[in-house]
Amino acid sequence: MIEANIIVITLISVALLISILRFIFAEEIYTKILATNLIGTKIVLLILLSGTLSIEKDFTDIALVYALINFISTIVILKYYEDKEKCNEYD
Amino acid sequence: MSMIEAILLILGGVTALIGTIGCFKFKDFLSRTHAVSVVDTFSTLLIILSLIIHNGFTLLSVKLFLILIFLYITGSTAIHVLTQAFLKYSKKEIIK
Repeated sequence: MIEANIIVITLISVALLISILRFIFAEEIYTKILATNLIGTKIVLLILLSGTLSIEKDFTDIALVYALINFISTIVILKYYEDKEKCNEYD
Repeated sequence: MSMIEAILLILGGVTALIGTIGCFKFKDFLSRTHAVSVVDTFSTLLIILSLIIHNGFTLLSVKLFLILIFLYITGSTAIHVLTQAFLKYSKKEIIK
């Protein structure tokens, strides 16, 4: 179990690096919000995997809270930009 | 070390990597949402299922199951809302 855990943590870390590059080189705001969602999902998975590696078993609660904050942040950033686009339409 | 847990875990990691590479390589926004949905549904399912099998029937498994249900509902909702906003407000022409 330990070896498979380390392999999967490495794979997800490489994927995290690629999604950060996607965030940096995105052309429009919608792709950036999509990359933020992707990074948040991957960090939840990383917290869960490192929780099984260590002796502490309380990492699951932290992952649950992180998933909640990820969803709220996506919706709120999107609502902010949607209102901005609406204001630009009425001008 | 159980064989089933390791296979599920490695399949989940490979799926996450494939979805992210797809999100990097696709040209269109709507194609990118497809690649991100693979990570949101398939990868989380495989990895959390493997952790649930590893832990057995405990309180930790119930929490992991709750995280799985929560990620399923919110990930799909967030991408749906994002796509609706893109279709409504984007300046680009969409090929139909």
